[in-house]
Amino acid sequence: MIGRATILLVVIVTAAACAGVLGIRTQPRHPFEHRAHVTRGINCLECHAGVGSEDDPRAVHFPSTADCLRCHMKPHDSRTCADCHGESHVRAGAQVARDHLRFSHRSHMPSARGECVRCHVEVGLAQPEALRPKMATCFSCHRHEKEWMARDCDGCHVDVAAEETPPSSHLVHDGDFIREHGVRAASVRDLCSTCHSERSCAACHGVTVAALPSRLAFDQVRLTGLHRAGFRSRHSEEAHSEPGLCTTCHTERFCIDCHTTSAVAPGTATRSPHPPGFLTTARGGGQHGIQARLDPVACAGCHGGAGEQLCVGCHRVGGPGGNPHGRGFASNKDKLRDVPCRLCHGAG
Amino acid sequence: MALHAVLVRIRAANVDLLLRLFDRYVFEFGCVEPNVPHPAELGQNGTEHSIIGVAHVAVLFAEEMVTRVTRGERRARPVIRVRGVRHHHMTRPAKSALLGGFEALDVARRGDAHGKHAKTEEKPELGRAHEGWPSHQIDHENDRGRSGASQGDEGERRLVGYHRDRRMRMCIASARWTMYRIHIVMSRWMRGGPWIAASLACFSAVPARADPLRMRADAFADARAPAGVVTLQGQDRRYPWVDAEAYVWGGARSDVVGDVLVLALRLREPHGLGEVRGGRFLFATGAIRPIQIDGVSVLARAPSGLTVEAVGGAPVVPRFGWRAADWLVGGRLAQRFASRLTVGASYVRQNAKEGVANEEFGADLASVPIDWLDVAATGSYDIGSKGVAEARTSAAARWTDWRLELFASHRSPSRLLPATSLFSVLGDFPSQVVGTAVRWNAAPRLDLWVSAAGQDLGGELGGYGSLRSTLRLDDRGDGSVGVEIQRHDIATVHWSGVRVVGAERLSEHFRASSELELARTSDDGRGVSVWPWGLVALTWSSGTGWEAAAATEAGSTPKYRFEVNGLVRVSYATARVP
Repeated sequence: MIGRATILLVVIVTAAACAGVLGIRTQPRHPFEHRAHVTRGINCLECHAGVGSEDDPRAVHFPSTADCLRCHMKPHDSRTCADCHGESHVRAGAQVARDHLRFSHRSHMPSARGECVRCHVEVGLAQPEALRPKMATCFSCHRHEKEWMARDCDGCHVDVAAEETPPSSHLVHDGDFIREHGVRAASVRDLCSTCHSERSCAACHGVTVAALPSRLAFDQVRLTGLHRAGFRSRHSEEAHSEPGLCTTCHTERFCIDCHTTSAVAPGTATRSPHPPGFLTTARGGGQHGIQARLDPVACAGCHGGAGEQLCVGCHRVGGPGGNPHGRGFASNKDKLRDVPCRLCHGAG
Repeated sequence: MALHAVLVRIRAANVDLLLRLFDRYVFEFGCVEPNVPHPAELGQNGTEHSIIGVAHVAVLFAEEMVTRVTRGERRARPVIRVRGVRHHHMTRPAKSALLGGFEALDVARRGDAHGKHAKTEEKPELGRAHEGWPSHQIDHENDRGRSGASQGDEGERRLVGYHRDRRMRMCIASARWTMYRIHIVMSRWMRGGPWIAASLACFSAVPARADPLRMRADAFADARAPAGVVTLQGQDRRYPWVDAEAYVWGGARSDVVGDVLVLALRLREPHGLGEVRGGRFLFATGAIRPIQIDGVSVLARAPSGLTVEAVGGAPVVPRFGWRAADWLVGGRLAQRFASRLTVGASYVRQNAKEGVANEEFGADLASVPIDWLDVAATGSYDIGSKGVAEARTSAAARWTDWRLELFASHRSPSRLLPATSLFSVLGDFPSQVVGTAVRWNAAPRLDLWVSAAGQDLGGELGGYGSLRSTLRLDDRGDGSVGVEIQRHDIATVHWSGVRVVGAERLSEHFRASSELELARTSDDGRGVSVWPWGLVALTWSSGTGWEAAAATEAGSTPKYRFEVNGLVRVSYATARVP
């Protein structure tokens, strides 16, 4: 009982100690005291000068220490006001907006009639999370139905893809993306193309990709992309565990092409890729028949094309290999004329 | 859809007199404008923004909110707290309501099911009687109102729920409510003019015109196979009907040759009614698996939700190869129903010199039957060898901190090979998988993923599972550590793996990251193998588009007992908007 209590205590203490790391107990925040200013009737433009008559559309209009000193004539500290008042992520958010959005305060001023809080709604809160208006706020006035239909975001967003602020729980992006995205995107290619261009698909599915995005972004270790980390060492296991999956991106010739250039193909390899007893002259021929049925793509990877003759030698009609057709085989091909039927049936 | 009541438009001049009778209560809401299109395919996800349904609004006042600040004036009023948030299909579960102190009640009006110009429904749900109640009691009270959500018309259900609630009836019957209605009528015409003026001002704004030219170049130097990739993308706002894109790899070794992955020109109907793509691109739609082609695709959309796609061309042959006899045609017909369901049917035929390489008919579906549930499925039928080539389905339910997915797949590898391959005649021994995946946001900075699946591989039973956790070291996610564990057991495949990753921002311009993996495989007849692998990387970004990263990776592979490799990437990205 004492042991359990001790364990429980340790768990509680550990959890409490880790609360900050886990984000449960966050660091004290020091958002700028907007609320204190606006409830005293100080107009936004008194500090954020130039917002309404901006000439530089890229300016973020943060007040300087000099602006603060116009009213706070006896500052309690000699440091720059922004060092303590205000939060870096709020400023960063404003900068991101400036970099990635086409927006003019000046054109909105007549509509807002000086009421900045109409969009910057969190100004009025004691603990605002972000002062940058959310997109829903924009949509309260701007409908953009046509742009949505045309998947045209460029009116406001300079480059949605480069903005790299996708909704964190967008569609399949928070699940197992590699497995899910295909079935999710099947019906909604239009939707995907809102943010992703052709290269997003071709970067993986292109037949001649020199390096996958996960390889190219080797420093983004949080990515869980395909072929990550030591994939080369375990690619055989991964391929065999989902037969046929590789053909989503690779042709059946991909294996032999890569193995040839890597000098691990037949004729260059120092060892056979097949386990002992894979092919025997005994009845059943060893394991190769079973393995071929389970993963014919793996066989085609090396023995496709001219290599098929290796099979035909035994499995031709009347040959010692017997009938290779397994359950569920059906074909509308002409077995004497069409490929591959004629390889065995038409040899005559 | 968005809340238009960004301003609780309190105009002291015209409301104070009446509102004074209500003590500190303020009831006036602007209109809620549920106006963002919400295709079924988005599920309940999409933007990061919460969507506020039209509400029985009011009644708990939490804190003062500044509603209007002009020079020398001050208008601060108690803020109405509205309970419950209803999410638009485009939104994820809201982390916070649009107005901070605001939350919206989960109530929609009868007749606004399509979400166009829904008007405010000013019905206090929770009256003063609730003031001072513990929050969980208030939640419970509102949950009662939502309890009938699964049946019948949403608006009807809510009205029924509304009238069922004795407390609310008492509230409605109150004199305050009557006075409030009078005030609404009086003030409605007064606010009409400014709203119209503001709307005209907004919609008469001339859209920005620009000519974005995007370019990104990455030089990727792998000690084994140096390569580089260049991306070019051009659009012109003045000519929104045309854009072009190129994505080109270059290699510096014989085994990594350069190639053009994308070189496509796209012509679009400005209103989204259709588009034509030509060049080299990747075609994937419906049950048609992705295929890179040199050809043309045409897409047409009708306002009714009907979509027609067609494609024709020659499949790309690696390394600039050419097979004159290869060609491909395909297409898809799809229909969207009431933003809840999209179904499609597709056909593709691919010919090679030896004959028909692939001929399939496919079907696909995407649906959002309930706001928190989305379902997708595809299936393709091999016409040549008569059987299901591939079928996949996924159903995902999402809550604020949880996501639960059930998935299943059926894949017949012999039918995925070209019909001209000898190995396509081995019969139907499909791989069938059924599994589930769960994501849990266990703590604000801690995410957990668990996945488990059972598999039938040609009669051999097995399965696989994985556990992954990511802990962000700061709120912005600049630093993180993660662990992933996997185990696969099926047929002759047995392997386990563990991966540990860590990243941290060292300074404004530098970031360090590291990744370690240990895979243990046990192949029949070969015994056990252990493959360690590790990487240490340092990244520098200038903040002006330049970025450089260098890494060293080391590991043991089936080919080499020990291998060390150096990686360098230099990137430059720009988007010029004149």
